[in-house]
Order: sequence, then structure tokens, then C-alpha cells
Amino acid sequence: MLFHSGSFLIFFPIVSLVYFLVPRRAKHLWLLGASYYFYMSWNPEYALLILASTVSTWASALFLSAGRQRPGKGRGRAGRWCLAGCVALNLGILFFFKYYGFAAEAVRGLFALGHISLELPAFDVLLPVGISFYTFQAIGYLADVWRGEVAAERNFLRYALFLSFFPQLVAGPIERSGNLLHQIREPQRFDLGRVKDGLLLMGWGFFQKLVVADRIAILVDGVYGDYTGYSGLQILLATVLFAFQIYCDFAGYSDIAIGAARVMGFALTKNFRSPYYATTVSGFWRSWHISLTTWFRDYVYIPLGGNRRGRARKYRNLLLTFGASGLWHGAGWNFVAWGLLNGLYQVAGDMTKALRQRLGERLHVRTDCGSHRLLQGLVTFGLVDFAWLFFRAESLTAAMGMLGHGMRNIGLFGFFTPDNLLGIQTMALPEKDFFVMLLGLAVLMLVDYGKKRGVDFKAALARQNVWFRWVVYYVVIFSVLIFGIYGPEYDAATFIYFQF
Amino acid sequence: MRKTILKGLLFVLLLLAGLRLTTVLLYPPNDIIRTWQRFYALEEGEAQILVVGSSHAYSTFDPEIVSRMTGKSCYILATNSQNTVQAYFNVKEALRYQRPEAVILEAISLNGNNNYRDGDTPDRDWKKESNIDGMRMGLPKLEAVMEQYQVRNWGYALFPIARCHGNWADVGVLNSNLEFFTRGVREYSSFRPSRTSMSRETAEKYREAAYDPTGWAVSETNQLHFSKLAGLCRREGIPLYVVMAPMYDVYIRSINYASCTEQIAALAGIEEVPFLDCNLHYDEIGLEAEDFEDAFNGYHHLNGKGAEKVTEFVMETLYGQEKE
Repeated sequence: MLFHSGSFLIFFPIVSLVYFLVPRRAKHLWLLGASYYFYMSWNPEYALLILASTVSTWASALFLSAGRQRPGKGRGRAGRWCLAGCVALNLGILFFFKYYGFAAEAVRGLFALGHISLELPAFDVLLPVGISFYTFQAIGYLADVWRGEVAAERNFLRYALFLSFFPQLVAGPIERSGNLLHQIREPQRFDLGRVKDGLLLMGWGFFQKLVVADRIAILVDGVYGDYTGYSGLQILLATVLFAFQIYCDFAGYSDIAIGAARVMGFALTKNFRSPYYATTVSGFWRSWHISLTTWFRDYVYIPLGGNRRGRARKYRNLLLTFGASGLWHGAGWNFVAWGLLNGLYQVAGDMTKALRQRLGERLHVRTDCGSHRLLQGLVTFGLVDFAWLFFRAESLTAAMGMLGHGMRNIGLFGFFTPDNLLGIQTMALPEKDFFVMLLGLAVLMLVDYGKKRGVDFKAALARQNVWFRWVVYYVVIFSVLIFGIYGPEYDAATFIYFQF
Repeated sequence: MRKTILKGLLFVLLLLAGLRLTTVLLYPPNDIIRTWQRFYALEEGEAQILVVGSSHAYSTFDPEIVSRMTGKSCYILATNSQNTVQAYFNVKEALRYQRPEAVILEAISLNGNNNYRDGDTPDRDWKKESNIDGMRMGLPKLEAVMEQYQVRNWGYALFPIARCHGNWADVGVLNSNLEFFTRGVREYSSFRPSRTSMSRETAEKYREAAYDPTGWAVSETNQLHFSKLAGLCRREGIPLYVVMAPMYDVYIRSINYASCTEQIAALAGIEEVPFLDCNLHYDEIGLEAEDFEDAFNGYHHLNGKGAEKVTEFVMETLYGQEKE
């Protein structure tokens, strides 16, 4: 059940309405049932996987918590074994469903280098929706309990809801137990203002997904599907647009998820903070998919030593963390390359920081002005966008092929022909749609700029007269209805991050 | 609290009005939608005789001749490939706005099996869609959707904006719809006979062809809804007539025509509904090959000349009126 499918438009109002009507004690039970129904609408059998993850992490957390209170030397060792076993089990499930095929292929390739033919069993399994998200959420909870940062949840149903809460179940935000569990324990009353805020945020999310992301997808899919038919500049255009597609797709999903949760009184973690206005790659990562970045920071980068043990260890840790982050996104070398590239940017940035500063001083470059920040922003966007090419390409070979083809066929003159500017006519997106897309992007970037400057759009709107607020609501609703891309047979295009 | 509820209701009402407006503007124009739009624009009493059925109904019955011969107004609420299931819902919807003195069901609609229960057409059949889209929101429309669509497509069937929203880019659609609403509603005629005349070559083809009569059958759902239609008319005290539009006689002679019409006659008999089969009065009507459209297929229609002859014959038979 996708957020922008007809079924969700029926499911969500019913779930929210009943949630506020049922007695307090039954609220989490109702949400749990609704969340499992939501998840099972993809594949009922995979509910067993999330149940296995729930049971194992819940029981392990209780064991860890009980171990804390027991005196004696053995408690630490038993706890460590329990933690390691449970993490291994959950990662094992994730590995089997997501990485087994990729790993088997890699091992086979490795043996083939030594002219050894290796036969490994093949399993034809579908990747369970959202498995990477809920597995990480469960492991995060377990680590928090192990560190003593949160108390183990004794109520199984409440914990099961924490792991399966439907707005964030399939594509995040990856919630921390410290944020969501206590909200589940203390359900909120109906609040009209909060409901309106939530619905508006959902509307904005639908706008980003259906009007902008899915419109860009038509062009990007066309170019990436058969790049040999396009010039280098057209590939560049598609790659630049893909940066916005994935942003609108994922930020749109996050806004719908956060908005839906807010309607029911839950505050989920903010997942994006105007990332394309970042002036450094590390700044970009502090504002992109924040719940995952902080997860990797807290459970991978810092436990590896972070930046506390010298530069070499710091760079190693950065590369390992970003490599793992790439692998988390997909079982393919292109994802690993994407992750490592982002890690490398930061290593290189850190290594050359002093040099750049000295150079800037020598050349009397002003760093406190808008033009400098603009240049930094453009360079950052260029670097991030170059890495997106690897992310979007079908494989590492395809990405390299695209780069080679683009360099050999820049297509400068075709790109700037007045009657076919940017070569639009040869791309899959009709001209009118192209301009709606540009308009959508302009609105998006304007809103992001406002957010970056600290404008509280919600509060600003709340201060306006009712007629103005309603005009804004109707504009959002009808823009989505009329300019949204629904697919030729009303097949809603899935969110990109669902595959992770 | 009361103020909040009233504000909420107003918001929803404005939203629905906006949805209606955008649907009207963006819906790709077609004759089925126009037929419905014209129907809703009728003044009370402008559909004293209501004709339902498939294309054979709208190419056979000329409302002007009906009016001239009977003194009653006539409206053709027939649409492309309309089967008896849809015809039943069309009459049910029509009764919310008009009080017809008679309903005529063109019999070929009993042979149309395009409903999902028989698996003959998918839910994305524009003819079925357009009839549903043309109807105003109400119980008959909801019933028609529930009867003819699979559950997973109910929402989709009820909100055509989900299907036609992309037409914002087609200025032609917007223009045509605007023009129709500003000038054309009252001018539109749902009587649409063929504009061609059967040529000798086409007539020759009919003579040489062999036909497969197995396609002629009255489905269970059509039988059921025929009974429902007869029951509805009985309850409302409105006479129902079943009339079979004529087909080219060479075609009729080459198929097992009786196997179908006997079934229709039997159904009409059970419901005590008069059944008039124009094919049994071919010479009496004075039909010739030139009274049909120039098409070589099993569902050839009458042209304007043929429609005039047949309308006069049917009205004479049903109402006993003389030609002027």
C-alpha cells in the first residue's frame, strides 16, 4: 500500500479516526493491527520477518536490562554474547534477503580470477519492503539498551508498534527508541491544529513526490535507460535532475510519513534540512537522510573510534562508514562506489582544509560573502551530484560506460539549438511537463531557502486570514491532483527508497 | 466546536465543487458524457419517452419524429455498447430527474455482455467508464459502480479526475469542454444515425460472407437486470417496450437469428413486456440496403433515412398514430 495509492487514502483516515475514538488502552493495539495490515498489503508472509526481528530484539533487550541489575563478572560477557547474537540474527536475515545474491556473485567472481569454478546455491527471494529500515531501528534500540541510554520496553505490544509503526515502517525515518517509545506510551489527544499541520505536511510531501519527483523520473528514466542515444550534456542534465528527483522522492515520502504521524499525535525525526543549500559535503550529509546519517554516526563511526584516534584512523572510519552506508542503500558495486566517493570527498576535504585556507589568504579571497557561499554550494552540489550518477546507474559498469560516452559525445551545439533548447524534444519529457517540473523545482528551492533562513512556514501560514490559508490548501491539493503523475493505468510509481 | 464543524463542512463542500469543476474541464469529451450532460440540462417533462440501449438505439430513434407523431418529448439516453445492466442504472438515474411516460429498451443491449462478471471487458473500458462518469453522484451511480467494477477499482471508478487529470496540457480538451458548457449543451442531440449509406460493394460482401451465430446470447447478468428494469418500470407505473432495431436482411438470414430473438421474446413474455422485432417487419417498414450504414460488420446501424422509416413504424405500432 503506497502512500499515494487509493487504498492509503481510505486506510489512513479510517485508522486515524478510530485511533482517536478507541479507549486509551486500546490505542496502541489498534495502531499495531493497522501497521501490520499496512505491511502485509505488500506480502503477508514477510510479516513473519518483522515479527522475528521484533521478538528477538525485544527479548534480548529485556535480557540485557535484567543482566545490568545482576551482580557478578559473568553478566557483561553474557550480555555481549546476547547482543552479538541478536545483532547477527537480524543482520543475517537482512543479509540473506538483500545481499546473498550480491555476495555469492562477488565470491564466484573472486574464485573465477583463480580459474576456479564455484557453484553456490541460488535463492529466488523478493526483497522484503523496508527490511533495511526496521532492522536498523531494531539494532539501534538494542544498542541503546546495551549502553543504558534507554530502558528496555517491557510491553511487547508497545515495542512491536515501535518497530512497525506504519508511517515510518517502510522507508523511515529510522526512529530512535528515545524519541518514539515514550510517545507510544503516552498517546496524544485529538488536536485540530496538529491534524491540520500534519495534513498540510502530507500535501507538501505528495506535491514533491507526484508533481516534481515522478515528473523528473520520466526524463531521467529515459536517459539512464538508454544513455547511448543521448549526448554528454543531456546525461549531465539528467544527472542534475536526478539529484532533485531523489530528493523530492525521499523528502516527499518523509514529509508524508511525518505528517501522517503528526495527525495521530506523534512527532517523528526530521529527515532533511535543505540539503542542497549545504556548502560542504559533510554539511550535506548533516542535512540529508538525517536519521540514517546519525544512525551510522552513533552505531558505526563513533564505535570505530570516530575522529578521536588520529587522522589516519579518522579517514579509515569515514571510508568504512560511508562504504557501509552505500552498501545499505543497495547490493551493488555502484552503491559501494557512491558511498566511498562521498567518504573520499570528506577525507579529501579534511586533508586539504589547511592548504585551501592558506591559499585563500594568499589570494585575498573573501569567505564572508554570498558569492563565496554560492561557489561553495555549487561545488558541493557538483560533487554530490557526480556521486549520484553511480547511485542511479544500473551498475558500476553502466556508470563508467555513461561517463565514457558522455565525455566522448558532449553534444554542445545540439544542446543549445534555439528551437530545441537543452535537447528537450529528444528527451522523454514533453515540453509542457518540463516547464511544470521547473516551476515545481523553483517552488521547492524557494521553500527550502526559506527553511534554511529559519522561516517557519507553518507559523507564518497560521497567522494569515482563513481565506488565504484555504487558498494555500486548495492550491496544494489541486496541484497534486492535476499536475501529479499517476501512471498510465493508475499504477502509483513506488518511492525510490522502498527498494532499500 | 460547532463553528469548527461548519468550517470543516464548508471546506469539504468547496473541495468537492473544485473537484467537479476540474473534472468537467479536464474530462476528454466524448458522446457518452455529452449525452449525460444534455440529459441533466433537460427541463422537467422533456423526456416523456425515454430510449435506452446501445448504438442501435441512438441511431434508430429520431426524437423529432417521435414528438411529431405522438406529441411527446423524447430523449435518447442510449450510449455506445450499452448493455442491459447499464441501461437499468441509466433508467434508475433518469427517474430521479424526469418522469417518463414510456421507456423503450433497444433489444440488442440484451446481447451486450460487457460487464466484468462475465469477464468480457476490463474495468478500463471507456464506454463503461464514461457512463459511470456521466452520472451524477447518487445511489444509482454507486450501485452501478458496485455492480460493474471490481472492489479494488471502486475509488478509481468514482473519481475520474484520477484518470483525466493529465489533460491540463491539452488545450483542445479544455476549449471543447468550455465551449460545450457555454454554448453547446442545449444544441447537442443524442440521436446520432450513421451518415453513410450502404454501397453495392458492401451489400455484395454481406451476400458472400458466412457468419458465426454463436456470439448471440443473453447473459445471466443481462437477464437479471432486464427483470430489474421491468420491475422498476412496473413499480413506477411506466410502460416498458422492448424494440429490436433492424439489421440488413441478408445478414439476418445468414445467422441463427431466431435463437437469440426467441430468448428475448421469452424474457419479455415472462415480464409481460411488449416486444417488437423490426426484423420481422422488414418489408412493411420498406427497408433497403441504402437505409444502413456503409460498414461490413455484424453490428451495422441505420442511417438517417432508415431511422426515419423505423421510428415511424415503431411509433405507429406502439402508439397507433398516423404519419402526418
